[in-house]
Amino acid sequence: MSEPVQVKKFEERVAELEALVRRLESGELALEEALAAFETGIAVVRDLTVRLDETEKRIEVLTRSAAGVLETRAVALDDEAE
Amino acid sequence: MDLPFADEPRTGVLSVGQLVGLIREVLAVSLRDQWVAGEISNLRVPPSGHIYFTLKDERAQISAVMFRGANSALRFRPEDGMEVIVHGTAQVYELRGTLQMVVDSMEPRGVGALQLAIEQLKRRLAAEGLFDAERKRPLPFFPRCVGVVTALGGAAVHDMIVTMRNRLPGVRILVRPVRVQGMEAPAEIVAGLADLEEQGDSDVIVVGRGGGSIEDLNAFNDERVVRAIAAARIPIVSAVGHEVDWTIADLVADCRAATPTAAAAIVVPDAGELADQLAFLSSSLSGATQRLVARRRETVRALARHIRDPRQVLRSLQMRIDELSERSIRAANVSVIRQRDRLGRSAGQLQALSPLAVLDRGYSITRRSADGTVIRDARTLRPDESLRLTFATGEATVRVAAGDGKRTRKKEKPTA
Repeated sequence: MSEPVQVKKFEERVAELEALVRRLESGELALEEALAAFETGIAVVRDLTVRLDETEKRIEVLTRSAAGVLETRAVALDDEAE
Repeated sequence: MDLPFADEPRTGVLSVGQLVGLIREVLAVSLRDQWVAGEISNLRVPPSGHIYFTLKDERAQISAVMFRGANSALRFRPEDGMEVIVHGTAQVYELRGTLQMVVDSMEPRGVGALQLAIEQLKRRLAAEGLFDAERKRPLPFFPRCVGVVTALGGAAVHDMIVTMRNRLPGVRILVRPVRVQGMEAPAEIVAGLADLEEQGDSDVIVVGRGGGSIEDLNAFNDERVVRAIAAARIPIVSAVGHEVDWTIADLVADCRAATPTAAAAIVVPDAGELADQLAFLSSSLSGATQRLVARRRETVRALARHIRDPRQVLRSLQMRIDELSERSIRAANVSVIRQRDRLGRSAGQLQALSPLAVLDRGYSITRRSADGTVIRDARTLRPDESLRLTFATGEATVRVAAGDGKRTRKKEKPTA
């Protein structure tokens, strides 16, 4: 429940990227603004690519211990190449 | 035993109409509101919309009719051979003297009671607005963690995990194992939902199981489960593997998937498609930036064309100065000429005003020869006096005649 800094949602970042492209395409930006927008856009692309390429492959099972505490425990999918 | 001779009227003999009427009355009183179990045969549905069939069992049969108003409420389609429980009243069809059952409701036998309970619950929850479209929450586009409430080890959980992994390899899957059928199932599913909500990492929860008979899906028609899904803060996808009938859980969930595999595809975006989209946006970004820079460069070039060498500016200034100085000299010359003209004109005017100029027009000046005074009045003349006349050209001396000098006539003064 405790998420101190909410990471921006994937689709929000995509929307951000689309907005940057639109601003650049409008041609109304000053050169400095344009280059700043480009750099921001590249950073967003990098961030999103990293998220897509994440291969953490976590499968966990949530159980409640005898003491009533919720616990997660990683499991392997039976047919996965070990 | 008397032979029923008809040669004389007897009391107690009924007309056919009276007999059928009596039967009708008896039936109406004693056979009202009967539940009857039987098998449907000889089913007919004429264009009138009423359903005619024969209800039978191994010992007997009876005609039955279910009028359009009643059968429009049916949630299943009656068929020949179907075992049903009907509710209605046995009546006599007077015109033909036959018995028939007028049916006002019908349930399939066996699942009937369960079905009825489900329908009742469904109606009650619908009235509460639990299935309203505006209660549905949007699913997250890109969940980082998917909670799953289902039986561990079944085909359902396997299919879900494999599908989610294929689409988005990095997704985290958190399974909360529960029993999905049997008496304990509803309470376990409710607890599983609560645990995932408490744990808090899940962005979306899939609750479901593989297919089964309506009894197997019982837990997903359980009011506790349905209410837990409705109350969940995390968006819930139902995935009860049953294409045809919707469970109540399906109705109340934020999204219904026909199978666990379909649920996985709904919940998790396809990384490959997203990568394509990202690549497109990335190239748009570069392209747009390059075009913008190119446009700016063109602007700079265009402006540069308007900037000139300062030496050239200096030269053109010099030329301007030269031109101006030439013009000023010319203007000064013109001024001298103009002054000279004016002078000439003034001399002319002066000339015109000279008394000598008057002589040119034929006048002459008369002076007294003795003292040179100009004569203006003939009365000052004395006879024989000597006068000196000055003409435009030359002079002459004349003498005043003997009779003159007395009369005064101005016009005579300028003597020609």
